[in-house]
Amino acid sequence: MNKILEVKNLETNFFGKTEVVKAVRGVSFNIYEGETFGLIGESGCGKSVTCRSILRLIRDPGKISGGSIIYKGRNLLELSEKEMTEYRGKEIGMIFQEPMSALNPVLTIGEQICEAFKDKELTKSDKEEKAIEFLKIVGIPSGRQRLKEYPHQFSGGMKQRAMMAAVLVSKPKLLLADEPTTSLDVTIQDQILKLINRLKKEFSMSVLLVTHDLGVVAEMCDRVAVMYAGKIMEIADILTLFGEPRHPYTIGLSKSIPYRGAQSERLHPIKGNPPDLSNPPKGCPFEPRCIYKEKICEEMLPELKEIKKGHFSRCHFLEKLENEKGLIKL
Amino acid sequence: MPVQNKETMLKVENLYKWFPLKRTILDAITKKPIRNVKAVDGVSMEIYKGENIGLVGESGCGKSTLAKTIIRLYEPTSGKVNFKGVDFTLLKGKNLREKRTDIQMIFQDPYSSLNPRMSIKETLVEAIKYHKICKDSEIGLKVNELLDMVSIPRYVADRFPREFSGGQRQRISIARALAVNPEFILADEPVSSLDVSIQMQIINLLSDLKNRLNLTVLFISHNLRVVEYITDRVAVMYLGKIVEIGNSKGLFEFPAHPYTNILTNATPVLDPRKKTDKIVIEGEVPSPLDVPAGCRFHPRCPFADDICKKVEPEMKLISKDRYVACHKPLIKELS
Amino acid sequence: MNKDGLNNKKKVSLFKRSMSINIGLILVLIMLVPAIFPQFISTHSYTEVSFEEMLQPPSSEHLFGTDNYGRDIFSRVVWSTRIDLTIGVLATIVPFITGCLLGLIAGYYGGWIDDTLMRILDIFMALPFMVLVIAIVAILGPGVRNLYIAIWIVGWKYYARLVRSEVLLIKNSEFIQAAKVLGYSNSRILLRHVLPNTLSSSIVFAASDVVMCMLTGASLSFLGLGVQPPIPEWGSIISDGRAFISSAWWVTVFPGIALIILGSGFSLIGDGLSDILRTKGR
Repeated sequence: MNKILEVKNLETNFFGKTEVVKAVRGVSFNIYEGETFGLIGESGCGKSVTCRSILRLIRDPGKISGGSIIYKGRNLLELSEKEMTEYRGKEIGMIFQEPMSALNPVLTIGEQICEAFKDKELTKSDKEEKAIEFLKIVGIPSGRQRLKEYPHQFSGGMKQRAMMAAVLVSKPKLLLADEPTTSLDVTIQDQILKLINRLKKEFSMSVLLVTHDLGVVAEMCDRVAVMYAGKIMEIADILTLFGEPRHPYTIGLSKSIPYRGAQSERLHPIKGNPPDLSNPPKGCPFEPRCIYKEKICEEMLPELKEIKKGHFSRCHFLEKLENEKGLIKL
Repeated sequence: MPVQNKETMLKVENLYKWFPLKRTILDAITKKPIRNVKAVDGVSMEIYKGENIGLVGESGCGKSTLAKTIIRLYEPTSGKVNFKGVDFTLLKGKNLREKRTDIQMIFQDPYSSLNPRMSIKETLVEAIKYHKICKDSEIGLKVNELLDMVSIPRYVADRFPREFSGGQRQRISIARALAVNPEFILADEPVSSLDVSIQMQIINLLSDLKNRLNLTVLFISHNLRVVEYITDRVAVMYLGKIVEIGNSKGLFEFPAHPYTNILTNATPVLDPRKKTDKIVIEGEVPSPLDVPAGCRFHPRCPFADDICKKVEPEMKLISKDRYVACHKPLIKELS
Repeated sequence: MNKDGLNNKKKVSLFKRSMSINIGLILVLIMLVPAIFPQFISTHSYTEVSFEEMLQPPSSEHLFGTDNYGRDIFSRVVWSTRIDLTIGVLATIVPFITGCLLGLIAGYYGGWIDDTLMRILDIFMALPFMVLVIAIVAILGPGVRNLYIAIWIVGWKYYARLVRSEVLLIKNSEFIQAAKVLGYSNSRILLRHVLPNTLSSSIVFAASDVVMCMLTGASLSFLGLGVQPPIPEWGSIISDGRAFISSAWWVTVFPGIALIILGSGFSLIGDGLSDILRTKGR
């Protein structure tokens, strides 16, 4: 399978008045053509910043400080801003968590979708016809009427669909979805996720899906990277992640999420709190909360090691985890 | 832990909470009828002492409004809330303020549920002192007791909310609610704003405290998995009404109301082998401004009949512990 | 994250946070000296006239020169400090208190109380501050007392507006709801929970309001409507020197500089407070 995106040692920092927050501390992963790659983690782990760094959407006081992002052979971090616009919204599209803040409230939906048509030869009515088509594709009927409406007249789910229509106009090859359904109700989430899957096939896209929800990951992803404190802790294909997780954080999460039938058991949360990224520890960032830890964990950051083909984990004591169960039995 | 002897703690009777839309002067002159957001549109339920009952539904179903109306953050449009034999909706002034200590609430957003200009200690002491929970000389002890209960170290009591994480702030909010020795806790999405790894900490904490202090809890959430895990019974709300109530385990496994069935099917399963492409339900919840006639779910219900379009179904007991408001429930009778 | 698991946001001292507030405070403190101890600083009496020494340029004897009555400018400027400073502060405090309270009550209770207040506010907002103040003083007659009355009548509008908007922002916050659920009385909620969280923009505004009131006082005195002679005041000194600007610049320039220093001092304090209060919030 061909690689469509290769992220190598990405580092993104935010420079405050008194401190530097190291949001992404050397993140590397690949996305292959046609797959849905999940980036899962909690707030502050750096997954959203990673996603936005790919499209170089990081602004002051943030800065991409290191690494490379290679899309179809070209390092996006080396391009000029002008060259970058050829990729942004064209080859690579992005949808966001809060569609209200991603859509301009003073422009109609029609204007915003038509803006995305970069082909200068299309007339206004051509663009509108195409926009109506795209609205239909994303499941918004009565497009002609809808084009004239403003974002505030759309519900959350519809805004998300409209945003997708605007993104799909340029037929991107890679779709970055940053928590697209986090603020939506579960039935709308179901609709939107399945829409993304359908569009992925129709438009032959690859998808990077950023989320904190293991359920969404199970539903959507082929492979997943688990992030914690700005670093990747584990990468695995979806069955392995749920069946044989090999990182204390992943295992901890699996043990603390209520699943069907969990009612009779008592689940064990991960103790402690996520770390402060203005002062990242020099050892393993998960160490304070880890039940398998030993002295070396505080002092030395473990490397990301390949356990078996395609399954990587960052832990000094992989052997302690071999008998741990996942959420499913393979 | 299911309830042993069913003593009613709270009884909601035909509770309505409508929010009228502001009209323009023109509308008022032309006597256009006032439109109402029917957030809570006739809810009746009983909550038993010692149980943890869940309230689920999607946005706009009225679950938060129901909680806030019960606790009188909103005044009911009509209906009664009977709390331990007293009509809570009729209490006024000093009586109301005193009775309030029996019912407390935990809010969703830990970042706005604590006064940023008061230290943790000041927040707790205020509650204790105002309601004269204990003698002045014992206030320090009580504060320490509360902090211990929620696992917040005693020596940070003088700090301010901004120095704490979301999970810690939620614990402090719980401590504040418990400071006045309530019997009934309304938890309005207490873990929805928290990180996944912290959620279970707070869920377990609530569970433990409930058992230790013999509390009754109404647990509101949109997260079905969490509700199934922690609650004994659960009520499902749709567009201002309760459509089904029953024991948590049974209700999610064998839903009787088509909407409950849809909710459970729409919740992603934690098993990547069980994926489908089929959408569970099309469309969106209608606005509470324009509630459909008859059964309010009928426009989206795959089983809707003529009767569903015309007649609003009543809440019926279909088995020992299950009530459903549906003309064509998925389950006629449970053994 | 340290071992208590708290965000130890580095406790930067209040004063290191903002350069503005440091400079501002220094300037104001410098000016406090002549305000509190004019008798130890001034070199001459501020009323003593001397026809031999009219319009003398600055010298070792008369540091700021003399005016057309031979009075020592330096001493007059020094003695005015107290007057101007008092005007600035006193004229600000009363509207601050009344405006904040009105904004608080209107914002919190809403309904007809708020509607009424907003209509009154609209009227006051439509008329410029200076115009109203001058009009009122013109009606009541010149003098410091009427100056205060005029500013007190007009000045509250800013605070009412500021506090009201802040109240509207937080009145449905969860911690206010929690306070209601805990059964606290409305007055307790207003004073202990709402008010402290709505004052920051007003406090910042008050700092610059001091400057505005000082300048209003100076302007009115300049016009002859404010502080009446023989009490010295920077504005009236400047006014006196109008006729001699080209020949005796020192009469207008030095009181002007004094105004600038004190005014800038308070402005910078306001700036600094704005920085500090903004970062203290969450």
